[in-house]
Amino acid sequence: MKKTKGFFWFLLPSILLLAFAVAIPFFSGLNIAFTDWDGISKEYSYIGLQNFVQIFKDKNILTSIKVTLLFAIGYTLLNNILSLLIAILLKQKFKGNGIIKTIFFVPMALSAVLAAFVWGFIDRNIFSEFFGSSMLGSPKTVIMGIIIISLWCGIGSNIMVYLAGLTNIPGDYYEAAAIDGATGWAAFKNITLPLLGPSFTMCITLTLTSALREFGVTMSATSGGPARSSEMISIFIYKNLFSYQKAGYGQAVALLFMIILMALGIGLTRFFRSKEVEM
Amino acid sequence: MKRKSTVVVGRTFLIALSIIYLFPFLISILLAFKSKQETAKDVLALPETLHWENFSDAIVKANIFNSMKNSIIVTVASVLIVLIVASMAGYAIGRQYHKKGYRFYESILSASMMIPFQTLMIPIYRMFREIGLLNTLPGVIILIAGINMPFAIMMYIGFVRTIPIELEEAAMLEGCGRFQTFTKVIFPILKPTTVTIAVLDALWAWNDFNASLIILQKNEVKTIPMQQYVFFGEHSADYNMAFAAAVISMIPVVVFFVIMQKHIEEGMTAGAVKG
Repeated sequence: MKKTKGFFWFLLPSILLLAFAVAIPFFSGLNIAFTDWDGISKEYSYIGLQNFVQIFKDKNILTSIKVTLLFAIGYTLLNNILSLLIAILLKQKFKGNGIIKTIFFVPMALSAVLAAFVWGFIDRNIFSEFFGSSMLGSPKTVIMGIIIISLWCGIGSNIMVYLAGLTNIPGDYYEAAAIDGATGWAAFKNITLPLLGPSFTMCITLTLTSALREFGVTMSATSGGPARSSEMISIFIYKNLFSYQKAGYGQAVALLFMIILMALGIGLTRFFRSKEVEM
Repeated sequence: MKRKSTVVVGRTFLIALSIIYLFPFLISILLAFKSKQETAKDVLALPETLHWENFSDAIVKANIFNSMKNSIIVTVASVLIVLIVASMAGYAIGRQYHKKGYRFYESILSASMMIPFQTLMIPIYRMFREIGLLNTLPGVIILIAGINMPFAIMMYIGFVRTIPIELEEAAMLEGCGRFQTFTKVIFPILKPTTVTIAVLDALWAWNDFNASLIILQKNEVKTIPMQQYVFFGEHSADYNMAFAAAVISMIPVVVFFVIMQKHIEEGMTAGAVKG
């Protein structure tokens, strides 16, 4: 009897599911990007590269790119600084440590819709009392508002990763450093930061690539408004299908978006990996 | 002493921040029990009596039982599909890891995880409309399962590769076929990974926004997030009832999260420690 017999059949269900949910839509999307499909009618015609040419002439997409980058960079920075800080503080043992940890994690359990609803209320009824105007209602502050909501419901996973990373650093490294007189900031800079390498690779890359795809919280909180000031790329693509009747064009944007995201994801991972040190 | 004061500052900051993180939950509970008049007078004041009628109103108007039923069906079914399909695939790839074809399939899976949903959204909408899966629970179940499957397979591959092969060889010598060996010997050993995947996927399916927004547009099939997406918009003036609806939907998922917290931490950090 051959030892490797029958393994292929174990793959088959997964191949079928992947084909149905990802591969077929993906390839049919390649097709749609070269058409003028409006998202509704049965008919459409091929228009060559016109959709892709259009991207470079579109002023609205520039707004979307700007807004997406502003959100993604701001969110990635704040999220990683804050989650690393919280993880370091949570690493110390003290009474109530477990409860505080859970408080930071629990918002992860809620849907984007719920998070946006509760914070939308806080923004309209409490923030506006303090600051004179609602953050989500003004084009100048709307992105900051969405960053705050996202920090609330999205910081937990990075805290988890940093905490695990910190736990992995052997305690005797710090003891040895203390003998040499390095404590506090010096120990943090020379031991903690370099040895957290794998955690940084994962957290920064994942936070940035998922922030660039941001959709749910913004859709629920502002639907891209006011006046397109929070219309992220993902919302721009969605609206081309459901509101602007330019599905073909939206798909061309979506393909370009994917290529940029993949290049960025791979590039960032390579960059951070090359900086990692062996423990 | 300097060291002690940094600890105090750090801990004060941590506690203050945790109160900010708790605040949205507290305000949700507070508003769910207040009347409209009390809210208009002072948003943060405590209510004179507990207005339980907000909850009964919410249950009727937000159609909570129907959307909760849909959410349970979608979550349970999509998690089961992922567990069955991914454990089988993870077993095969993990055991045939030296073969190029299986490794190639693994890299296709990890590439598929990098495709943003927005790139699939428009074609999925068209395809599902053509084959009649739009506005159906099976449609959204298959889609969510398909999107969550690659990550689950990766988790299973990692674990299968640590299982000694002698166990299966013994089972096969006793006359078990490949499939029987899998169900009787391998699948039970995979349990820790299965639990982690089940917990994470359940959370993702329960809160899914992207796939559901495209597929579920009719009221009868809406899950809780989709139902609330519409409901919160329509009842923006009737905050207290909306908050009662929000609190009702928070309770099960928060309880689930707190009970399963260990598994969620394990799943979230699986990639980071190994690197």
